[in-house]
Amino acid sequence: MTEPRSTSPANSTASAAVAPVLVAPVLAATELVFRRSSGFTLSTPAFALDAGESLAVRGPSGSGKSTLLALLSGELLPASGRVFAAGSEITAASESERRAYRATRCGQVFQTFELVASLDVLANVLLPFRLHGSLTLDAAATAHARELLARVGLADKQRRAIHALSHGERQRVAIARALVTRPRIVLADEPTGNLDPALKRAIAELLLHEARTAGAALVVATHDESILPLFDGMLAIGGGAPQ
Amino acid sequence: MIALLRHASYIAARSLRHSWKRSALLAIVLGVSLGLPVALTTLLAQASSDMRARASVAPLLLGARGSEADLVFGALFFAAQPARGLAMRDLARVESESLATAVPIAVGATARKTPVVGTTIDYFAATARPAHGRMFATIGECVVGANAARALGGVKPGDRFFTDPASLSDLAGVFPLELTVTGVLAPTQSPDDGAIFVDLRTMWTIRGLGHRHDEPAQSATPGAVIGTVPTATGDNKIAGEALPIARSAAEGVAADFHFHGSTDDFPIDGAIVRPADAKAQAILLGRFTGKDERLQLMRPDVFTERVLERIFGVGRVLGAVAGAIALLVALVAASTFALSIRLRADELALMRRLGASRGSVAVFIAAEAVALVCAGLAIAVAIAACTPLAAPLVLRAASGGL
Repeated sequence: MTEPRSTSPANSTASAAVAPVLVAPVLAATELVFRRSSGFTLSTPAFALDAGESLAVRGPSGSGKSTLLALLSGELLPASGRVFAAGSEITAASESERRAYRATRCGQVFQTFELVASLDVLANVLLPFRLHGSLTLDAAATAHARELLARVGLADKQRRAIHALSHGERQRVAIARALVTRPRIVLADEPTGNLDPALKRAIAELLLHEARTAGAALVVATHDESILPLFDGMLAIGGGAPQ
Repeated sequence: MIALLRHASYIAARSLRHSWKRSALLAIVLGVSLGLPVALTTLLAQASSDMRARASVAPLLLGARGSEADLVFGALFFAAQPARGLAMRDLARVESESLATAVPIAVGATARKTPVVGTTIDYFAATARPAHGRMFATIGECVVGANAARALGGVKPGDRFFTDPASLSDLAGVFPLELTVTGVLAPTQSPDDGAIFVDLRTMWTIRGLGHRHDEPAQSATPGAVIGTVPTATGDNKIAGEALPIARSAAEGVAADFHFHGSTDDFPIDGAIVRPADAKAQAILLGRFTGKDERLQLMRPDVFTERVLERIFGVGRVLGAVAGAIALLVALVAASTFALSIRLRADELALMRRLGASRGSVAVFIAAEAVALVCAGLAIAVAIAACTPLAAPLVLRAASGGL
């Protein structure tokens, strides 16, 4: 992967007595354009996120929120534009490098939880360690997974089957799984989309809190207006710009 | 690579356990379809070995002219009724000039559905000896085969039981007789294991040719005497139908049984003929080839080979059918497995989204398939390994006691 070329504007407030330090944002994207063969075109403005910052991507269904997350995770490549994540340019990386990025530095939460039914709660959280050779499933990883489950309120349900959990509990498992590899970036696609209204805010706050605690940049695609105020910034798909 | 295989094994094991009913069904279907042809081959080999061994007991078989199969399966396997028409006096035709010895066999009776075989002590010269007790000696005594002893409820020397009230062949002769066990034969893995052996006189008694009753003149039963016949030594009493007929030879009264008429005329169903030598065998075989001959003398080994040839012909067809079925079942199992994988497309896509390579996902699927095939092979091996152990039981059940 090539090194990032951008620096964070946050350093502009640094003292004049201190030598200027170039600090790359954890996640940055130039203007991105993505086209499908169906004719669908997604255009997004440039944006950058530092560690611990959060960005909500809003827009109606079909506007391309999930596509943007797929571009940021390296699952899809844009027709034009560049994505920099965790110190590397994702859009210039090979397939295996992008896979390694998703496995090790990019945690993901999905709308439909996407948990493996045959694995129990703890095994689902530890699943990324079984999928990529660069991760080692050891006692430290297991301890970290247990700690994450405790933090999301599932300390006593680590050996439960997935089908025995409520929707809210399943999304908590998914959040723990997204954080278990200590990623620099967390991408969440409609994480509250399948939850009761009472649970939406709780899960969004949990996700934000855990991402900030882990020092990860968080991008959440949502069309849920009620949780938008929780985020540091917002990107509206379809002509909007980061606020 | 080792870590990948370890993780693949883990995920495969969890997946198989999660859908254990489907997994078990697939493994069993695979195992049975692979194991059955092997089991069939083993059973055929065992059956042919047993039949050849049994045929070797009797160099020649004498019987009334009729079905060779009935004679062999009746006289050697106690599972058929040979043609009628052989009598004790016919044995002289093979024993004359010391050409051979003959051991009579009478079948057709049962006790609790276990065949009762009438013969002489000479029968046991080439077969089993009692593991417990002694051989039968008088009317009403019997020795039982190892399996028959179990079938009769674990009988041992001293135990008694009645023969069944109706025989397979003598529907007109319903004469249950109480038998006393004097010995249990050592197992021989032959039809002897499943039979009850009695003296020929006992068999004739069961057939109603011998009996024991009170002296008519001394009987207190009304109607026991229906008339008298004057003789030089006094009046002979004519016994009536009301005279009680004893159906037990127990309590030391076996000697009171008697037969009316000459036992030379009494029927038997076959005879094992042991010729003195090859020349004697050739002479004897020639004696029973006449056009009007009412008896037959045949070689059980030749008959057995002819039967086995047909059985193996059928076996080859069955083997080919079983092989084709195994192939079809394997294809169905593979397509069922493929369908189950397609149903888990979301799960596999998730693995890809979380960073797994196509190769890794393929290894996960392969691990599951290999585990299923291994389980199926284990079942097939178990079936193949158990078949020789279960073969005697299976063959006995399948052949109706042959």
